[in-house]
Amino acid sequence: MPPEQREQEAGRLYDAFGASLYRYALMVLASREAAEDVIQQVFVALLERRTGAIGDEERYLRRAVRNACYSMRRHRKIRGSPVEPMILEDAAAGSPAVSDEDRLALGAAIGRLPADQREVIHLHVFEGRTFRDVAEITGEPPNTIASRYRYALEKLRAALTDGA
Amino acid sequence: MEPMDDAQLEDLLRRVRPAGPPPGLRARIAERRRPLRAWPWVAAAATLLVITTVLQVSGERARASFRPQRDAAAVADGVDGEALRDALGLDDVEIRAEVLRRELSAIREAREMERHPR
Repeated sequence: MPPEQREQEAGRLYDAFGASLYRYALMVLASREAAEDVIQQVFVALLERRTGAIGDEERYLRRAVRNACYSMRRHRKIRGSPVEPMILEDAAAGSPAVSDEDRLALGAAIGRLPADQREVIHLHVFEGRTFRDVAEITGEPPNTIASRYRYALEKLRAALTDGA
Repeated sequence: MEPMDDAQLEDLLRRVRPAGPPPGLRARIAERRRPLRAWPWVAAAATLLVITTVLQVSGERARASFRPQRDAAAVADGVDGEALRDALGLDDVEIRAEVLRRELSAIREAREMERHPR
C-alpha cells in the first residue's frame, strides 16, 4: 500500500475508533499523557505498517492498544506513580447530567481502582459489552471478569459513600 | 454522596464516560510520522561524519608515529657552531654550509621514512 493511501487509511481508522480507544487507554493507564502516548504509538505503527489490509479493524486496534497499555505499565512503572483522577464527561446529550461535584468524586474514586478493575468498568459499563466479550478481550474467564466488576462496584460505592 | 445500591451506582456510571482525546492528537500522529521518515537519513549522515572523523584522526596519528623524531629544524638547532669551528677549523660560511647539509640530510631521511615506514 503506498504511503499516502496508508495515511488516509490510518486517518479513517482514527476517526472511527481513535476516541473510543483513547478513552479505553485512559481508563487502563489513569494518565492522560500515557494514554496519548499509547494512541500515538499505535497509530504511528499503523502508518508504518507495510503488510496488507486488517481483517477485524476494531479487534486489531483494541488488541494493539491493550498490549501497548500493559507494556507501558510494565516499562514506565505507572503502577508506582500517583494516579490521576479520571476526567469524566457526560455520556450522552439525552441522559440527565451529573453534577460537577458527583462527577469529580466519581472520577477520583475510579482513578483509585486497580487498572484491571478500571478496564472491566470501562468495557462493561462505558462500552456496554457483556462479560463474555470482556473476557474475550482480556483473555480471562468470564467468572473472573464478573468478580472483578463486583469488587470494583464495592470499592466505588465505599469510596463515594465515605467520601474517601 | 448518599449511599447507593448497585443499580444506582451503575446508573450513575452510565451517565458519564472518560474524557475524549485532546483535539490535536490526530494532527500530532500525522506530524510524528514525518520526522520518522527523516531519521534514517539523519542517522546515516551522522554515522558517515563520525566514520570520516575517526579515519582522519587515525591517519594523523599513524603518520605522526612514523615521523622521525629529528626534523630539519631540530638538526639546525642542535648544531653547535662553536664546536665545529674549534674541532674542524671551519669559518662561518662553512659552518652555515654544514648546517644546510645536515638539514637536507634530515629532510631526505624523513621522506625515506614516509615512503618506507619501518
